[in-house]
Amino acid sequence: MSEHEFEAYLNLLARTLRLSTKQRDRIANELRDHMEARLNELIDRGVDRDDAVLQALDEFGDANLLADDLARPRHQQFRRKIMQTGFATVALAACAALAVVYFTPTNQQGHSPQASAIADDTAQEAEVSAAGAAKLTTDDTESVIELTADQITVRTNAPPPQPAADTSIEIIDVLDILARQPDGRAINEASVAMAAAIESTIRHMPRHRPEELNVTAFEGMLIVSATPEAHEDVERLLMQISEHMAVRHDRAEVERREAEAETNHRLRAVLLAEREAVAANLDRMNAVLADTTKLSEVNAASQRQLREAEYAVRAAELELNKVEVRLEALPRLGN
Amino acid sequence: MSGLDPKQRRDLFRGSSDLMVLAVLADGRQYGYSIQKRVREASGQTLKAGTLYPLLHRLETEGLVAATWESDTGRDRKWYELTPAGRARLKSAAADWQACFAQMQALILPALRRVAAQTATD
Repeated sequence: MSEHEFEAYLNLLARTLRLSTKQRDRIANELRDHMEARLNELIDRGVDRDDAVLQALDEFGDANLLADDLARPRHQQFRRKIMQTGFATVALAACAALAVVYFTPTNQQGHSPQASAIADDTAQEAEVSAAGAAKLTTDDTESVIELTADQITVRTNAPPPQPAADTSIEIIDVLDILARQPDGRAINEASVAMAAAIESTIRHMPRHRPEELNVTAFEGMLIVSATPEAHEDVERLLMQISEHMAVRHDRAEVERREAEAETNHRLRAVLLAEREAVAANLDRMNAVLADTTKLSEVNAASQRQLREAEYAVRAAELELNKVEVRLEALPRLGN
Repeated sequence: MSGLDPKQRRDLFRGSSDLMVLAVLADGRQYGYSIQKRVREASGQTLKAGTLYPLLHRLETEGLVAATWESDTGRDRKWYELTPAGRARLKSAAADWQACFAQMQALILPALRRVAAQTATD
């Protein structure tokens, strides 16, 4: 009985664990090891076997909650890895983009990006202000980039994209990195508000006229760069990250569904076998009841046995009902 | 007469589960069931399996413990041991806990002395 009950619990746990088959098998092996050790300990202490099984299982609590608790650290670790990988790649591209910004002849000859030009004359400041803001409108979103004497302000009402919210943080990081000097020293920390609209202020960025900047939205985020080449590089890279994340997500989903179908299949087989055993037990109990009924007709002392046989039949019927309910609750398989 | 009921005692230890597990592993590698047993024997506290395993897996992903699988007597068993980061965390968490304990003692011991003195004069 113990093995059967433990397996039923572990199967239920595995069904709700959103992890790879290998990870689920390992978790099941570890928990099974614990359950059996605990069962033996309780039996050695004189606890009835069935009670010991129930107690050992009870200490694990609700299988669904345990599945959530076990999967959470792995999911968090996965997200961190994606973030780190994505960020490192984007950071690299952003640095390359910055290098392009700084070393293209156009920039050196045109609207100087050098730090010395930041304290500028009012004429140029007025010119920049008069030029207003670069505005980008896509579908329902509007993104505005404004330039003043010493800062660029980016505003977009695009909400953080779902499910690519993580990517949006990376993009903001790109904006921040674009505001770094060539030696990598940060000259400002972009302020990021993820709750609703995103607003990033990048101070002391080498100044450009709004029309010089390339501004586009990508999955609800704003990309700003100073040369078309750099812009294309960043955009291509972001596209690759986005596709990479989507492919990984799809693959994990397919794997999860296959594993779930396989587990359901196994669980169904276990329950069918259980139903057969319980039904056979019910038959036996009915036979005992029939015999006892006959006996009680000739022997008054058999009344107690008769009641016991009736109870046993009722218990077997209840057991069968329970199995039927569990079978019914299993999702129907395609095949 | 006991001052604390079992729930209050559990509450006292809640929040120290990580520390208890790290402390048990300081003696050497252990598997889940043996960790639970050692915690119970040493502290009288039961870390339920439903609490222990998520905790161990979290410590593993945080790099505080390392796990290896071994087959002894034909059964796969997962063993945990402290990593250098786990030992460092044990030290800092133990220091924090001892500081809290010292603060409580600074409050409790004078109070106990006052109560004892009052009892003597009554």
